[in-house]
Formats: sequence, structure tokens, C-alpha cells
Amino acid sequence: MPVLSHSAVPLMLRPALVVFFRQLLCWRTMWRQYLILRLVEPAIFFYGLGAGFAMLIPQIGGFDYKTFLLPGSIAMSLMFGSLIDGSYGAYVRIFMQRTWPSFLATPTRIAHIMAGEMAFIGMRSVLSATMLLLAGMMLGAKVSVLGFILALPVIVLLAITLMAVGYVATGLARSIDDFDFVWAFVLTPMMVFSGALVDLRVYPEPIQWLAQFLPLTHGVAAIRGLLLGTIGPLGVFGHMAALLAILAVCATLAHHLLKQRLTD
Amino acid sequence: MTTPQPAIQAKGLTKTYKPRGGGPVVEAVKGIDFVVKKGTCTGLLGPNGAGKSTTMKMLMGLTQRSGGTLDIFGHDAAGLSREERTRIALVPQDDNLDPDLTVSENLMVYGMLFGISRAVLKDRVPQILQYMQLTEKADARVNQLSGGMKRRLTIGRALVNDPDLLFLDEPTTGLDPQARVMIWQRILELKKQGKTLLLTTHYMDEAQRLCDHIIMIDHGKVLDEGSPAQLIDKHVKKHVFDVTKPIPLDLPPVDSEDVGDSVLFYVEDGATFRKKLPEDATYLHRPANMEDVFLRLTGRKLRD
Ligand SMILES: Nc1ncnc2c1ncn2[C@@H]1O[C@H](COP(=O)(O)OP(=O)(O)O)[C@@H](O)[C@H]1O
Ligand SMILES: [Mg+2]
Repeated sequence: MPVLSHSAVPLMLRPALVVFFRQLLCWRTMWRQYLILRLVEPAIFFYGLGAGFAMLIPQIGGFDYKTFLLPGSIAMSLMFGSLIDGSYGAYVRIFMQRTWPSFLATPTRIAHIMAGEMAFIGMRSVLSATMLLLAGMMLGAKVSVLGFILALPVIVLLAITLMAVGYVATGLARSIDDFDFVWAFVLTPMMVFSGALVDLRVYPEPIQWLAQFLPLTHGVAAIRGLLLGTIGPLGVFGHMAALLAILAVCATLAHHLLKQRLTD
Repeated sequence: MTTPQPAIQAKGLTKTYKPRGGGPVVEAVKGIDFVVKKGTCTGLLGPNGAGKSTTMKMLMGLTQRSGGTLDIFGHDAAGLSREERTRIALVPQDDNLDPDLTVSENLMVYGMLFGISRAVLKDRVPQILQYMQLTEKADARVNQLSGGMKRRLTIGRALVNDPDLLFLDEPTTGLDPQARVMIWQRILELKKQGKTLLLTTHYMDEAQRLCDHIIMIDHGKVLDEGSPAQLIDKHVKKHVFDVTKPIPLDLPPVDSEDVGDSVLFYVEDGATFRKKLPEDATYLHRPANMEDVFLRLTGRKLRD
């Protein structure tokens, strides 16, 4: 008889913890590469846009453009990391490497795998966001470090929510090429209409209204508010509630779609 | 008298694959009944596409059945408890080892998913590696292994939870004779430990050697079942004379089958039949085996 571990983790959660551990084992060989990529790419973006637009936009909401842009860059970098792992990455693990089906031949269920992978993405996002914060501050953004620490729960929640959006795409995708739709209909609109790069108020009202359904909009608003000290606790909780709602809908839908496909 | 509860019981088990977005519906399993007794090795044999893997997947809850009942340890296979799941393991037809991990990490993670503590696995993983002769590859990545090594690792992975019930879907396909013999030994050892095994294979010598009971299926239906000896007796008699054409005239009227260049004669009494063959006839005389049964029951037409 197998000896069950005596850890304090409830039985229900243990498989999720093992999936987290599995992700950590994989990451052991590629974390340097990951962190460098997740730092260099948004840093170039931040520096290029920041320097370029600083000429045109001397002030935005009372802040210089670089300072305004850094929280947006952090949120956007989370979006790429999480959404791509939930879509391309999960597609590979489910349908190509067939890692998920191998796990499902044990007592592990789909919800455990999703929870474990999401927890891992949450952790990884804290690391990459911290690195990008430090880089941005060195490049001249004047943001609050205390605000960043307070923003960590938002960062984790945003990353997990975006991963759930990616899982929905994976549940729908017939082939890996279908993720081109994710670029066109999810990544690009979020990049543009979430307020990451410019103040959302420059767009017509219907667009502003529609933008409220994008998780990145709430992530940007809460992270920027905290880093610049322009938001109260109530505002942060409001955005977190919106993220939680999107997370609940997407995770439930993704679970349903993936379960159907994995037990077809 | 009560008969002991079987490990597996299927009644009217059906599976229909309905491809979404159109395409033809495939009736992979068309209402089969079978029982797997505890502590036996049962073979599920049939040509490609017969429905063997689909049956195994339904047993593992990896695909939903379309109809019928399927019980494991007396409970619905689709709703087993966590504890019951820890007593079952699968060797899938296609290896799905984790390419992002090393050989020993594959076993470690899998064992943890079964709820086994890391302390126990610290001892068990090296034992399994040794048992499967993979100790030297402990730290290699999966893509550095040969096909035979991957297969051995997949089998070892299915032993990490010390299962009472083990499904082996073509465990030896594509392996060299040495690896096959090694895996046979392991399977016989598992049988001795009292484990219940359900095995599919395309090698009839393997089925004959390992299985106590054989279920022949084709096109999603059970053709016949019984012990290897019973099936051979029933379908092909004891001896086979493979007589090269032209066939001598006035041979006794026995069960025979034209296979092209020669005709197979299935007879009960080998010595008597041999006397009836002319001196100059070219023939091969051998004991009948499962291969003969298989070909008689499923025909000689090629499958995809
Ligand atoms: N996921 C699937 N979708 C549609 N048809 C399938 C699927 N898996 C198997 N089949 C079909 O079901 C039949 C039985 O397949 P399978 O159980 O794999 O046979 P075996 O393992 O005996 O070779 C075949 O006709 C196969 O093409
Ligand atoms: Mg098969």
C-alpha cells in the first residue's frame, strides 16, 4: 500500500501541488532563459515607447510618460507570459506531449492540473514583474516600491486570470494554428484597449465600456493605481473582484471544454 | 455458493466516437460482455481497430463510454474513488512520458501524483529503475532513450504505485526479442504476486505464454473467449499440417483452409493423418497455436 504523505496539505489539493512541483522541475533548466526574455523584451518596449512618446506626451494624469507606462508594461508582460502558457504551452502539454492524459491515469483530475499550473504561473509572474520593476526604475520611472508590494496579489490574480483565458482558447483550438485567433482577437485588443499604453479615456465611450470586459484593463488600473499611489483600497478591491469574476467564468468554461475533449 | 467478485465486469459495453464538426461516426465497441477474474492475466486480442485500446481507455476513465455498464472492484469505472484509483495503473499503447523531465523525475512525479510520499519514493524509484534495467539512464532525458528503454520506463512508471490491477496496452510492440523476454519475465512475476492483469498484444506466442484467459474481439464485438488451450481445441484441433500445393488427392475429409501456396489441415490425431500423406508430399507439421486461432477467427484480410 502506498504511504500517503503526512503534509498538512488537504488530500484534495495534493495532486495540484505535485503539478506545481512538476512545473518547477521543468523550469529548473530554463528559468534563466525565461527571466532574460521576460525582462529584455518588455524593457526594450518600455524604453523605446517611453523615450519616444515622452517627447510628445510630457505629462499624463500628472505623471511623466515613463512613469505612467511602467505599470502598463508590467501588466502587458504578464499577459504575454500567462496567456501564451495557457494557450500554446497547454496545447503542447495536452495534445502533443500528452502529459495531461498521462496524469489523468492517476488519481489526478483536470481541475488539479489547472490549479497546479496556474499556481506556478502566479509565482513566476511575481519574479518577472519584480525584475521588470527594477529595470524600469533604473531607466527612470518614478514608482512606489511599497505600492508594488501591495500590488503583488493583483499581479498573481491577473496572471492566473489570463492563463484561464488561454485555457479557454486551448479548449476550443483544433490545431496549434488556431492560436492566431488569440493574437488577433485577444492579445492585440488587450494591448491596445486596456489602457496599458495610453489613458483609456482617449477612446470613445463604447470602447471604454467594452474594455471593462478585458482582464488586462482591471490589472492595469489596479497595478498603475498602486504603483503611482492614485487608487484607494476600494478601487483595488473593485478591480480584483472584476478579475475574480472573469477568472471564475473562464476557468469554469475551460474546465468544461477540456474535460469534454480529454474524455471524448 | 457465492463466486468471488471479479476485478472487472463489462455488460453491453459500447463506445461510439462522434467527431465534432462532422465526419463519420465510429462504433468502436459494439456492446461487449466480459469478466476479468482477480489474480489472472487476461488477454484482449484482436486485429488493429478491433476496439482494444478504446476498451482500456473506458476502463481508465480516459474516454466516456456510450452505453452498457463497466465495473471495477464492483464499482462503476467512471466513478471510482480516489483510493480505488491509486490501485490501478495503465501502460498506454503510445508512450506519453514527460519529455521535460529526467527518467527518475518521471517516476518521482508520477508516484507523487498517486499520493506516495517523497520519502518512500526515494527508495522505490531506484528499485524500479533497477527492475527495468534503467539505472544508468536515471538522469537522462526521455528523448535520449531508445524505443525499448522508453517502453520499459512506461511499464516501470505503471508499477510505481504497486497497483493491484494493471492494464498493459501492447507493452511489447516494436521491441527487440531481448526486451520482450525481459518484459515477459516481469509480467509473470507480477502474476505471481497475485496482481490482476489485462493485456493486449499482437504476438500470439506472447498471449499463449502469459494469459490464463483470452478474449478475442474484432469490429467491436467479442468473437470467443476461453483459455488458450480451450480456444485451440475448439477452433483448430491439436495439429496443423501445412501442405504445399499441389495437394495430394484422397486425403481424409478434415478441417482445412486454403492460404494460397499451401493448404492448412487441422487434425486431432497427427500420426494417423501423416500416414495418409504420400511419401513425396511437401509439408510442415507443427502443434496448433493461438496464431491459428486468431487467423481463423478474424480472417486473413489485411487491416489498416
Ligand atoms: N479518438 C478517436 N476518435 C475517433 N475514432 C477513434 C478514436 N480512437 C479510436 N477510434 C477508432 O475506433 C476504432 C477502434 O480503435 P482502437 O480502440 O484504437 O483499436 P485497437 O486498439 O484494437 O487497435 C478504430 O476504428 C479507430 O479508428
Ligand atoms: Mg490499440
